[in-house]
Amino acid sequence: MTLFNELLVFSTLALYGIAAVFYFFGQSKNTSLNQAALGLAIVGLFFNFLLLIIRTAMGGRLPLHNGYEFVLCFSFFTVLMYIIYEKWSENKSAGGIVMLINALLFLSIPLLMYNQINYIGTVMPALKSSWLAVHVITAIVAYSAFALAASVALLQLRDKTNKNDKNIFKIVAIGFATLTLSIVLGAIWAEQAWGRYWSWDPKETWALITWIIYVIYLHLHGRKDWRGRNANFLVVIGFIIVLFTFFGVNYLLAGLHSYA
Amino acid sequence: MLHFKKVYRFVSSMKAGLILLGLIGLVAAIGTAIRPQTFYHTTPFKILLVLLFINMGFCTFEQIYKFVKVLRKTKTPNRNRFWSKQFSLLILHFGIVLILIGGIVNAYSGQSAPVKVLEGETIAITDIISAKQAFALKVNQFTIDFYADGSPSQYISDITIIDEVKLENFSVSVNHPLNYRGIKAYQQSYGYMVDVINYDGENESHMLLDEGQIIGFQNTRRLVKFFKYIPNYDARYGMQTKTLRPDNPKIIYSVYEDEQLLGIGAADIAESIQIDEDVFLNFTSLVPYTVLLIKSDPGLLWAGIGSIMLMVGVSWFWYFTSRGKSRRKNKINGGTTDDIV
Repeated sequence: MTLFNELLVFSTLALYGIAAVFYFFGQSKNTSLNQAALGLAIVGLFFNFLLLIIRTAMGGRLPLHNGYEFVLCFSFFTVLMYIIYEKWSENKSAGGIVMLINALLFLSIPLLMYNQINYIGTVMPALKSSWLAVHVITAIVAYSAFALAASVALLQLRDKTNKNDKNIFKIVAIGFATLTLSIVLGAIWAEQAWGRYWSWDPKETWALITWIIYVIYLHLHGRKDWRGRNANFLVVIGFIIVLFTFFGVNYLLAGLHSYA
Repeated sequence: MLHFKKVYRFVSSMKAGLILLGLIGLVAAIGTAIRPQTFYHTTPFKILLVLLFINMGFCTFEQIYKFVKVLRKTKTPNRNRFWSKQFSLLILHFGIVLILIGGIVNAYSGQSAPVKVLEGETIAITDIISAKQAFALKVNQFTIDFYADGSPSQYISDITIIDEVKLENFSVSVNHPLNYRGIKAYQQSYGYMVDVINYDGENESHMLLDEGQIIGFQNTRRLVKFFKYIPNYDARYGMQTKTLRPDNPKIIYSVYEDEQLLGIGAADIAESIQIDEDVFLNFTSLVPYTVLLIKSDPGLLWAGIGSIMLMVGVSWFWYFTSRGKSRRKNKINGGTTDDIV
């Protein structure tokens, strides 16, 4: 089982990586290369899903408790959202960037959390709450939406267009709504667990900073002087801060949210 | 008068709000690098938050005013759409204003303080925070539940609430605070004191020692310090406990003479230790204590209502953007319904 887990992690990483390469070479035209890329992404998604199932079976609880489980969910939702987006928008151009982000996310498992792959720890008292599921799932959906939005925005910055602005706005709206829910639900939970709904803990603070970036985007994205380049730039910056909120805070700034 | 209007317009503007938010974000980011939590309680940071509150308060007030004005006009195109969308944004913003009010009320009249209570001890709430409710809490027992591997699964304080007329039992544990007549009590921490008997020639005396406390004797110059209680002692882990479960409880003590450290020892519970000729010491038993965080926050209701409004507003807002033509412009009031505030 232990070897199987590791094998599955590396296979998913490889599938996401190769899918990214195929998408890049497919150049967004409806070629067989793009078809193959989508196929690889779907197989990768299935492997990713298997890892989540194994994790759930191993721990007898939802896989939402540490950094490794978070990365599994994060990449799962990002790929899932991207596949839905590709079908819905009939636009494959962001595939390369999205799958590259996912491959890098998965790469962080062997680099930073290798020991967690086969290890299931006990749940500390502070995490034993039904608020955990809603707080973490909303955060993951938000992070995934921001990853997708940033990929589309990055592509627009490269191509100097703004034809996908509406789509970016819609994806950011999903991310913003779920991030807001995650922060508020987390605050309600913190009030119950720690006796304070806001402690300026590094994770809280950086989640707030992320939230502020997208607030600014939502207020300005439709304006003439912000449409296109500046708005896209904000969406990309927002996702960089999301990544810092996850990795940076977990590995650099110790606080109440240190579960990695 | 003209100046006043100009100032008011800027103070209540979206531009000012966004600049403030950006500043708060920037300063808060610097704060996480500097680390000490007091950073967020410094006056300049508080001023930024208060300014945001003022801006959003005015801004939301303006919104309500405009909203009512537009609703009164019967010939608004796309009336329902406009109504729903603007309303969702309105409650979203109003929710944030309420949350900020809750924070300000808490800053002025909220109280919270940790209190250390030994098993069997009773504390009066009014001794910890100033409250109208004069009830007391007795801690009957403090327990730690463990998983099979010895890691803690829950910390529990069994308490009795002693009110004017009645007694009520309650278990305070992590994620399950006591909420009684507007006062909350949280399981925050715990620890152990140790009961010591010393035989000193013919005298025998009892003492309750806290970690780090020192005990002296009559017939010797030597001093003993209760250094630490280790619930599961294992030499390989040094002064760290292997697990929190008391599988091999030891009491670590150190002996001094004339400020010189003579040695460090690990004693069993109720083991007799010779300190000097005819001087013995016995750590007879552990007395657990719990640390409860006692809190009252009159702002919590405001923040609670605000957070519900914020959640409803943001979900509602998302529902509109997810449906097709969200970017269609309605020319109302010279502006567009598309602009968020």
